[in-house]
Amino acid sequence: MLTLLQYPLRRTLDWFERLFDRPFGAKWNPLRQPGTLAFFFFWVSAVTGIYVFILFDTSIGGAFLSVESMTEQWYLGGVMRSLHRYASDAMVLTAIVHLAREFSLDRYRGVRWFSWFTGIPVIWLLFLSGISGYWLVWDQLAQYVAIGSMEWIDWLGIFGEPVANNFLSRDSLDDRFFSLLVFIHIFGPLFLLFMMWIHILRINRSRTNPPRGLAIGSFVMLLALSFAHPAVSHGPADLGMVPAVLNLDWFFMALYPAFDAWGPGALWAIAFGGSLFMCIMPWLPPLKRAPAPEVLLEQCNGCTRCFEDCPYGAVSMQPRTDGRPFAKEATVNADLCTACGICVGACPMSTPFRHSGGLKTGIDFQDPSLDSVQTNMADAMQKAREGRNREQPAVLVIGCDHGADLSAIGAGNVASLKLSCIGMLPPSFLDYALAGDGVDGVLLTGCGDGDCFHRFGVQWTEDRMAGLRDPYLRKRVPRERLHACWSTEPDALAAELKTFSDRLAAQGEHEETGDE
Amino acid sequence: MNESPNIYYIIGPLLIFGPLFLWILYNLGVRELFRIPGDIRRQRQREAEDANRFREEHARKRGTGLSGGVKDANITPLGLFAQAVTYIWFAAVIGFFAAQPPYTYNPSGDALLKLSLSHPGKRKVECRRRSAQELAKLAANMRAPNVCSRERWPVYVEIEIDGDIVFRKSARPNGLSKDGPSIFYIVRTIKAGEHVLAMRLRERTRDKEGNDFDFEKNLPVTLKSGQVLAVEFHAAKGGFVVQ
Amino acid sequence: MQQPLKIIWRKDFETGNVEIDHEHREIIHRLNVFFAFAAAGKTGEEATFKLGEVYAWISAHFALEETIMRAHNYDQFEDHKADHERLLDDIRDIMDECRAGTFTGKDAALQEKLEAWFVGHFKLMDSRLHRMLHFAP
Repeated sequence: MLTLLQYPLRRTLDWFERLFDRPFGAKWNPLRQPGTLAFFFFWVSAVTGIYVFILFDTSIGGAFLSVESMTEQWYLGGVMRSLHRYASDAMVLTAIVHLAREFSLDRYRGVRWFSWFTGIPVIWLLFLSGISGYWLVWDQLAQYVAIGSMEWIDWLGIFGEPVANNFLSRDSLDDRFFSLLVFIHIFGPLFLLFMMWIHILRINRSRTNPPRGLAIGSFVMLLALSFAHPAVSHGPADLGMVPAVLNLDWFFMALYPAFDAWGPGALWAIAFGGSLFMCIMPWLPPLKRAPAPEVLLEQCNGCTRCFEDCPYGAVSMQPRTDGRPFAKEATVNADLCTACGICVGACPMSTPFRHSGGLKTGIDFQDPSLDSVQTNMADAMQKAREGRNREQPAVLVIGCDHGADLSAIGAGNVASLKLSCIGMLPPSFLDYALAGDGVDGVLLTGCGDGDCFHRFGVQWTEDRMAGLRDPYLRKRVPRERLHACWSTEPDALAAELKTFSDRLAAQGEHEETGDE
Repeated sequence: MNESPNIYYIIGPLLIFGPLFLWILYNLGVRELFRIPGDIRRQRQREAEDANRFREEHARKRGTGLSGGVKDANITPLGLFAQAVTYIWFAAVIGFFAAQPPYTYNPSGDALLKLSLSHPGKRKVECRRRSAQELAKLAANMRAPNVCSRERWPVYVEIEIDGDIVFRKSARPNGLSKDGPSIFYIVRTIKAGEHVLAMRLRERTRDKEGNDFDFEKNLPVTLKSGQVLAVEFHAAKGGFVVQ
Repeated sequence: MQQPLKIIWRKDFETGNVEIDHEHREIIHRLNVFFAFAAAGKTGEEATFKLGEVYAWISAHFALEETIMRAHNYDQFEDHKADHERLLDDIRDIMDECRAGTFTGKDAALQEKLEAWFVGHFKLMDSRLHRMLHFAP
């Protein structure tokens, strides 16, 4: 049921991501890192907001005029105001993209519920920050939004008298209450920032800054927009008149017309019901939790490689408990562990050159144990070798649970092996696969373009192959017999496999007829 | 009559004494606050060098590991041009929806009647005076002369426009002990033009005797299109008060 | 039967670091077991697997040493790590020879290699590390 909803969304987003990959390249593609952009737009809003606040008159009489005089200064004040508005609109847009993305990639269930759950207060505070900002202009739009917001809140009946009384007539609103609105707009965004920090707390090595090229491009975009289409106010607020036509900022005010049509009760049902639903989404249905790996202390000397590589901070180093003369041992916190297996791939003891059934490493799953991975790999290699011939060299395809589908592959000279994440593969296993009795080539496959389901699997694998991250792939392993296809498209995998096989066959011929 | 001070009398000293003050502060202690201990500074330097070296190596080695990998940023002229076009598109989306399409809040050009009132209903049991004996029985600081029940009656309000009743409701008193005021916040649209407005309030719900209204106001009004007519209620001022 | 190659623990193998010394002792013991195995004439699959065990333990040891070096900002880290990588490559070469059956266990060249490892690596790399760890500020 869930996949039914996620799949079309994923296909759509994937299509757009690939489309944007062409002009931007994967590294700068805004659709692949909307979260970092949301942070960036927050900072732009914050800095421009400080400037705007300095020039803002916090009294009712002076508020509108101070904003007007800012706007009239087209080269500075007006730009700052427009930047402030458009950056916050952009933040809403990127937050929505980010939300849709994480849902479609299924990165919110199981252990990762925390990020999703804490995102809901972020949405509320973002909404509050934006709306309270519009109140301060005290033009007709502000009047409309303020009265609507207050009447909505009054439905809860939590205040002694209706808050909307403050907007009843021309004499009702006083400076004191207006100062309260200013206060809300300063502390709303501050709490928003705090909530954004909590939102990323359980992500190890979180990225909150977009790459420089993307940041510069986005900023210049907002700047150009601010010059070309400056933000302007409506006519000044008049509590004695009902505003007729309003140019709503639909990023923040999309629900206000619904409020006019359906009343506060319905809108509370939408807001509360929607929030409640989103809060429980990580458990609809709950992710089947694979058991966390265990540290096997007889093989662990506290070298910290698993600790460094874990994408979720689930491994920590603790003082020794088994009496062996090492300072530290690794410990797994099952509450933070998604069972990706990257730690198993990082452990230096995870080498395959041992008896089947005798492979013991420092950190391992009960099932599938690394020993069983070695056995399966040996079987797969055997199968591939049996199906090999002159034109079709034996190829082992190693993939993961979230990358391209491997079930279509695995006939004749090609065998496949599936891991929970490609990062679980210790580099020494590649050495093993390409050594003497092994296969002619190994094709690695996994999630594409920086979107590894387990965040760092693809990157760590690449770095281990390149000799940039421990454990290094031995230099003696022939790189021309290795290939990678980081993509989730089944067609891409089949195409890469063909190219690779042909290349291997050509190399093989060359070796045979060459200097042997 | 206060004249606003000449701005130069503020800026001048600020420019001169400001930096001096900050320099003194800095030397007195702020510098120490920000001083990084030597070994940490050296470690950070080493880490920065390591990171730089890593970045160079990484850039050099990318591509010698495997033939796949994350595609880098596109900085070709065509790529940058395409990015610019995409940014313009994004800017258009943001710029458009930040103010369009317009929303007509009051398409029919009606006026608005807003009535906000907060008034306590009558007490359910009328207050009675304590007798001298009862007062004597109480402790000295507890001798309130009247005994009143806390609970109040709901307040009933009716609004009539041109003879048609557009609102009739009783509101329960606020508070857990039902002893607070009853609160109304009523918003009704009225067509622009001349009308006769009648507002009535009773401090209790009707009982067997069929009580009269305690406060009443009839008034003719002429409303312009989009006008807000705000009516409040102050018992001391005689009831309904038009703003 | 050839007298098996054997490495005897010497005083100057000590680096002073409890963890490193413990692992050095264990690895030397495992290597001696492998040499005895090889000297008994058993090569091929079994010997490869035995050496594979040693390879795993040596990899783990090198990992720990590198972590310690990084933690102390050891200035010769790059060279020491390069030596580790080279040694592991050498072991893999021997493993391949084992599997191919070309490793006889009586090879004098192997003994020289081993001497080069322990004496050379210890004398140059590990003992310098020991000095740096103990006398560094």
